[in-house]
Amino acid sequence: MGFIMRAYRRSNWLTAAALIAVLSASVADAEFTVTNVEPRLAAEALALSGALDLALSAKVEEALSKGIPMEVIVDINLYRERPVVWDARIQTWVLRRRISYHALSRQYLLMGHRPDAAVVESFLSLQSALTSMGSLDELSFPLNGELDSDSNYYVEVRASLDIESLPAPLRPVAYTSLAWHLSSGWTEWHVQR
Amino acid sequence: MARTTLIRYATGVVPLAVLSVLLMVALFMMNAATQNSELFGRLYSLLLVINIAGIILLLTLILINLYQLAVQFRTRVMGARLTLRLFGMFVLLAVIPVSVVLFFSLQAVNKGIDSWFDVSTEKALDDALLLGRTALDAIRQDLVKTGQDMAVELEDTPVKLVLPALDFLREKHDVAELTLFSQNAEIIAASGQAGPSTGTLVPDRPNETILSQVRQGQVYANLDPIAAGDLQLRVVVPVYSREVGAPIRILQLLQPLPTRYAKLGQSVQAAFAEYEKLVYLRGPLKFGFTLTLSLVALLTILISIWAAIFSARRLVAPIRDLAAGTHAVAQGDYSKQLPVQGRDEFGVLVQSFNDMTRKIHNAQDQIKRSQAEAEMQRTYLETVLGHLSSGVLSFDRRNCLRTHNAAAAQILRMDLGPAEGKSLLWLSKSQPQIADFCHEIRDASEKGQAEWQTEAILTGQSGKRTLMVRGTMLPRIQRRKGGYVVVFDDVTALMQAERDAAWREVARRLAHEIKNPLTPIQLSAERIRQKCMSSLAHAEQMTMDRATRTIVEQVDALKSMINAFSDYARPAQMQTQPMDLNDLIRDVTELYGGRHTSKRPTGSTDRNHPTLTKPPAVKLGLDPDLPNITADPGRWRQVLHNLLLNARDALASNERPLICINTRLVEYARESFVELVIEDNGPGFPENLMDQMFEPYVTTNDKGTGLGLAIVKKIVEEHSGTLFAENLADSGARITIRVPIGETASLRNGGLSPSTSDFKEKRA
Repeated sequence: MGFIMRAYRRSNWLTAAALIAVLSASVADAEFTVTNVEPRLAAEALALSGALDLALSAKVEEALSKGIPMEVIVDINLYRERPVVWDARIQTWVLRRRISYHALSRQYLLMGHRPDAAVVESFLSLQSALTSMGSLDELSFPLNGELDSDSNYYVEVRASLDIESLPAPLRPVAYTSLAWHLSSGWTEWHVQR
Repeated sequence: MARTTLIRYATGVVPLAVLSVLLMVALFMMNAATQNSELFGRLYSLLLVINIAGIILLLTLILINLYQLAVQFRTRVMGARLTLRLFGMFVLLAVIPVSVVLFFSLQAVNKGIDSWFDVSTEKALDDALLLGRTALDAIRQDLVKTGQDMAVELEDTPVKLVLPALDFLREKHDVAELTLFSQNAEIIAASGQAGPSTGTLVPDRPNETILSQVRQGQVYANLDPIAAGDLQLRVVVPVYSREVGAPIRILQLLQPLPTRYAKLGQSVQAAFAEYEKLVYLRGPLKFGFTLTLSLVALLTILISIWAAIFSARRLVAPIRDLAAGTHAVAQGDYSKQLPVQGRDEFGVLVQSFNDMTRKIHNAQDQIKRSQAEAEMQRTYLETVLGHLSSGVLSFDRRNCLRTHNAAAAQILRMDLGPAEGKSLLWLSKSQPQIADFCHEIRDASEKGQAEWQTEAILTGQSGKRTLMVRGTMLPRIQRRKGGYVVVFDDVTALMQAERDAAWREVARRLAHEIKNPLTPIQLSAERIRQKCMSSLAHAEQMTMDRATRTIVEQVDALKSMINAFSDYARPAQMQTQPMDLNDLIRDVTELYGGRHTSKRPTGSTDRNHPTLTKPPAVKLGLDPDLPNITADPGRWRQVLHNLLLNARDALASNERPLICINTRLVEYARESFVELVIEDNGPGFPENLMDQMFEPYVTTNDKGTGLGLAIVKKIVEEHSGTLFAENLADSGARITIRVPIGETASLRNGGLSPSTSDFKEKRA
């Protein structure tokens, strides 16, 4: 009986592992990764630089090439470490970057990656557009208050594809398909002073 | 409690209705979102989630309802079967059309979406795009050539003169903006047109990709979309220096497209992008529409199911109420009133049912009141009848006994309970002693007289009894012949008393009228004999002597007879005392036992001459526990003498004469009696004299006065007793005397009224 139970459990594990492997294989090349983030405290602001690896899945690329604009959201949370209780969230920021394809010029247009929101930058290749999109070059986020100089701070960064920004008919498909679930997950980066 | 409330809310109308309306609104919004509505587009996902959750909730509520229905069906709740049947019918009526509509809608939507796209449109758009690109390419090539010319011109321009040169070139070639970058992408000089579109202070900088491309000696020329959908041509060319080893510089030309081109290009781009997007979204759009339509259909079906449950319940509710009401009425509950809901046919039906039950209830009450009244009347009548001394019987038109009272049973000396409902014929056959009575009633009733009167004779162990019977026809009820009621009295004692009174009067007159002349007659006869005897001849003397002796003897005999009558007629002068009847019997029988001859004992008027007979054997059967009675021993002695003499006379011709005397204590009609029974084995009483046995001058003995038994009866009645004579089955006679124990104390002295005597005899 114990053997059967063990075999059953093992077979369950095997099934789950196989499923995870298949899923991860299907989205292995399409993943958002927070490669590097260097947060540091500047005068009344949080300066951030780093790079995000925004690899799109084939489906997303196809949709992009068909004129569907994509929005990538970068969530940034600033936390103060606390020794006993949970860490205090000090402030949150959201970056929205939009990429779209311009068929007439055969370029990928990027918006939102510059402080000036109206600036549109065009790229001939998707890769260069994504690289530019994922670059966090000397971003500065103003702080609401002064930070405690004795405490340690860290930021959580997550990059994800915003399904809600997709056209309404595409959303149910996107929500029900793993190929559209592009997110880096939360990553923690220590704030340097 | 909480669970009941929850179930009530879950199965109620309001939550389901609200939920349905909300879901319908959400679906409407979702449908609008599918059609690219700006307003609902942002809420599409939320609406989708709300709809799916709502539908799941609705489904749960409906499942709860269905479960309840199933439970009601299983427990055979009234109306559950009909509710389920109606529910099934409604669901079928709803699901089939909705499914058909859904199927064709999906077909239509899918075909409709497909029809948006056709090859020619796509080709036209592609061509338009290509045309646009070609047209723009020409402009671009021109700008590239211009750029390259400018680069050549700038090759040997010293740094100080770069700006004027740029200005010159820009104006010469009519370019919007010229910027010269160093190899490191630092701006060396820039020249731009003054205008709102180029009003930025910082010149537009090509991105690193372009710069690296140009550094490698390539020319970059492309159409750049800029903000607000405008297009500009960007050409970036390397500017080589004529000096060997000098770093290259980079010249960027920015030239907005001519307005006409820009608009056309923008239009082509927009149309193409929109078409491409639609083509790409065809699948998701179909999916979205299918999802929306399916949700609409599902919601419609679920709401229909819920409405079916609700409608079925609502429809069945009055029927269930009616069924419960009729069931209650069938169980005898006529006070059942149903709630009237609505003014439809069900309402009318329920109202009619309520009217019906109310009327039945009122009628029932009326009947109950009438029954109670009738019962009261009947009880009253029974009480009256029960306390009547007359017997009352009522018969229906088929001569069947309907009612009787206690006095009737007493007079007839039978239990009339089993005879109720039985016919007169049955009564006369089962009770032969009242056959004559029944016969008289039947005869009289068949004559159909309204009132009639007759006499009937009852024969029994206690002798014949005479009943005075009066009948009255009962009134007709609803043209049906009514029965009749018979009232009767036992007039035996009354008649007997009348006869007794008459006899006493006779005796008194005899004693008075006859006894007085007897003494002169006797004296005269003795005087005649004394005076005339001596003067007569011997032969005549003999005659005289015989004649006068005869006169004297007969006068004596007459005197004795008159004395006896006097005794009979004389009022009783009793001296009562506690008396043991057994002792008295033993004393008296001692006188008779073993004697061959007997003289008339004192008080006996039956015998004037001793009779030579074989003495009868006397057998006593006396109850040792017999209580004393309060009586006059002398008169009881006379009773015993008279009875024993009678018996002995009856046994005169018997070979083995036997007299049995028995006493015992009997209970009759809740009273105790001392019973004295004297039997002999003689020939018995003549049948024709049975009803006159105790009357004076009724005798079979030539020598008797016929007063013996009359005196016995008189003495017994003076002691409140009763007596009756009967013949034994084989041979012999029996006289039974009963004296009440409790009543002997109140002896009747002298004048016994006939009515009291009647009463006592009846009671006995």
